[in-house]
Amino acid sequence: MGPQNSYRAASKHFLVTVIPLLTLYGVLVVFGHRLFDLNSLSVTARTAGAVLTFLPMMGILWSIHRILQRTDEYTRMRLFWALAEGGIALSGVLFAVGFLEYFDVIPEIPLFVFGSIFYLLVALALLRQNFFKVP
Amino acid sequence: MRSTIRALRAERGWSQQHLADLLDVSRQSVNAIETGKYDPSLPLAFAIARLFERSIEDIFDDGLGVANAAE
Repeated sequence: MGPQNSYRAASKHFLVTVIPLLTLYGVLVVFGHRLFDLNSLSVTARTAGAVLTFLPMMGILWSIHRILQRTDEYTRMRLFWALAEGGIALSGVLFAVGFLEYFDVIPEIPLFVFGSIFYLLVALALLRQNFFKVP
Repeated sequence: MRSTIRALRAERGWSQQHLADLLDVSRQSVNAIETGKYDPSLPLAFAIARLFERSIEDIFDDGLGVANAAE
């Protein structure tokens, strides 16, 4: 069937790549810093730790880029809409949280948390498409 | 945009998934085109027309044909 299987192959490749990377990222974020006393580590070691932690996320971003290139046009349109809506919603969250922090209403939130919030918002946008038949 | 894809598919006894596999798209794509929720690109419209051995105009109707003809 050759190229006729490309849509399925792209979807399968996406899941096979993203699920392990997402699991690894979650494990590193939740447990990574507990293994070491960060204050006792050198700057080089801390830099290496930070790079190792966000490397899986780089892999996930690459996978998203690939699925956008290789998937069928309707799925691509849905993903673009979800990414756009997620980005718009995230900018709203960033403004709100930023000013709440600035006025000392809430404590400072680590920036990387907003990366996860973005993907949560994208997932919600995809769910909204399914339930409300939009766009 | 209205289309006759559902009828043409039914004539052949194909499921949405089978048609999606033949076109190398997702089943959701076929469903979205059949229900008029999504208008396919020209390459996909041509692929659909070739598959059913019809012209694009036989399969897709934007509802403007009569209005344009009357002008």
